[in-house]
Amino acid sequence: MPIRLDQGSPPHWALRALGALAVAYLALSPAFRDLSPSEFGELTDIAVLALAALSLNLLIGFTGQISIGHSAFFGIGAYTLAILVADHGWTPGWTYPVAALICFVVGVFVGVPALRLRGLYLALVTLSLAQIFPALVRKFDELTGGSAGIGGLNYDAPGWTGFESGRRGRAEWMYWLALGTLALGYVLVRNLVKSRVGRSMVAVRDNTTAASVMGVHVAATKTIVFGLSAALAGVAGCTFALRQTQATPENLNFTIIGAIIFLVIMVVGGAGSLAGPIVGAFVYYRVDQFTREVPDKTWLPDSFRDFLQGRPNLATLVFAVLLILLMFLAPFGLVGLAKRIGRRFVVVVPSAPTDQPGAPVEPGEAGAPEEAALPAG
Amino acid sequence: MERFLQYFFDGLSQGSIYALLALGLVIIYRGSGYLNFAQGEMAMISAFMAWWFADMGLSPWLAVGVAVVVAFVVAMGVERFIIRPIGHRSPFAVVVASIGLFLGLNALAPFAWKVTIPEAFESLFPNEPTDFVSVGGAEWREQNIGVLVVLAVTAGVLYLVFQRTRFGLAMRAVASNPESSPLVGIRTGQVLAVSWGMAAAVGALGGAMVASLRGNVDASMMLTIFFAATAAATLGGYDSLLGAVFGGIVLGVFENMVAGYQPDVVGQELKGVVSLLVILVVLLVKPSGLFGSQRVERV
Repeated sequence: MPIRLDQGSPPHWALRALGALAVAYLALSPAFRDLSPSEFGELTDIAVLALAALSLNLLIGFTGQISIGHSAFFGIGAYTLAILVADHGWTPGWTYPVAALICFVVGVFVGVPALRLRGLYLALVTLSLAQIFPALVRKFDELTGGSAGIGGLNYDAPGWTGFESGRRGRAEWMYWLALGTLALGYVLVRNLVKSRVGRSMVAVRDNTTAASVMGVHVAATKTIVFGLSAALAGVAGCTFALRQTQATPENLNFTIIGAIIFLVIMVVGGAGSLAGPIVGAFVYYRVDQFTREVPDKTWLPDSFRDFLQGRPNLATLVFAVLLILLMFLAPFGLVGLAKRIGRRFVVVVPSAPTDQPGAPVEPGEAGAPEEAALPAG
Repeated sequence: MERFLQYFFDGLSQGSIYALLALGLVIIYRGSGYLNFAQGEMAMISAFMAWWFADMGLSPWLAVGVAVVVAFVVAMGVERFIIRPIGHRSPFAVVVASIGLFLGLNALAPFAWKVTIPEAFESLFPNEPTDFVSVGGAEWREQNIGVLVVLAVTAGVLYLVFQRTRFGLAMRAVASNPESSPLVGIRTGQVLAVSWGMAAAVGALGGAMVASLRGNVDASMMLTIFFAATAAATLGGYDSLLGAVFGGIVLGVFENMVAGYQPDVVGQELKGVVSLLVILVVLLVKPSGLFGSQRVERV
């Protein structure tokens, strides 16, 4: 029999405070742990991937619009930063809002035809967007540097931050920058999802026709969410370009593979869950890292290690299998799985809305509304 | 005129390949309403299998035949054991699973055969520099004619299967009314599994044609072709076999003309943009495609 907690009661607050503390510790601990620049780099990569997956989650997980083209927005963000910094001498920090704005506009432009498209067709349009982005970059080489790309993107920590100059200070600064944008994105998505707009989004996802009948402006909701999602992906791309110190069309994250990686992260973490993308990015990065090192693990049988010699792509295969298995075992990802297990022990009873007095809703009916349904294909 | 014919002939064979892949997409879509994102990669793996069998000493066409049969059987298994159980959960889960297949198959080819560079694939058609038919001054290469013939034969066989056999009738019944078909004794599950098998087999033929034209097999060989095939299927209408063939040919010729006559603006690199524009225009103007049936939704 699970423990029942009333929403907003002191034990519930204590539980949430504990969770918030744990998250804050995990995010801020690099400040007082003695990490090497490359470890800071890894954490930066994770934060960037998490933000990209977060943007996708806003679109797919909460609004039910499938995009397999977010690598293009990621790339547009990266190239906006690269062009403004390398050709026009901007300070990288000031390029972020510009990149976000450009991605928002492009996102809205993609989102508008999407209004007439049912799920799968939207997937098709975004898929071809991902496909042509690297080709466009190569084509317009005067602007983008073509296949060679744009290099030399350094962002030394501004004086007020107090980081030392050089590799170490830059690595730390990059981490805080990536973490800051991730936190900002998280708060934006969280507030959006918990607001009236968020409820319209979920309504559009679960039953577009019914949502429209209930007075939700479906077209506006879809378009704006698409733009916002693109903007977030673009911001992630900005940090990514700085972290790589360059932007080239060969980079996997700007191709269709990148779009699929973001999708994998989102699904592994949990579609329609706020924490999902962050958990997913962490798991993805560490599993990827581990799998790449597997052929060198001495505790494995020699025959297996011999088998793996000269065979690339083990990590990708693992994720492909994981993705399909997850659809069987935990379609809501790791966070969804954790919630399901957690509910055996603790159940939070939602309190009644204050302006409409009534009986508290049973947890089974209204608990965790974001898990009501997977988006329709 | 000579230039026009040249682009036309090259476009025809390119379009035939799009059509073969689009046929696979349409066969699956008709049966289950799913868009199979792994269609291109299934074809790529099949081309690798054909290359592998040929490498073991089979004659090229026999190798392709064996690969087609293997693709048929494996795809039936994929439908039965992966797609169908997941489909009971939600359509989105199927999209994710087929993207998982896409990712996995794309990674599997280099992993399984330890190849990281393109491997030579013997042409299935006469391919000497002199093997062409001269039409109006343009060279219609025999291998391009061969690909077109393969498409014609495949489309003809599919037509006979769908229109003249009992099983084809069952497939059409499931496509037009999946709820009522079981009531008249049609085994829907079997029909769906065979649809996937047929789609994979047609795709395998397409993959072999691509490998033959390129002269090699490579893990990324089907990526752009798959996108073009989705555009072709959109143009023709997702539930029309005739539309897939027509859409593939038209797209192939159109793309080649645009790229040929506008080498600076479009050229080979931006052929993909043509596909995207075709998808967008069709979806905005006539979402059901040229030959597709209108979908009416009950609210």
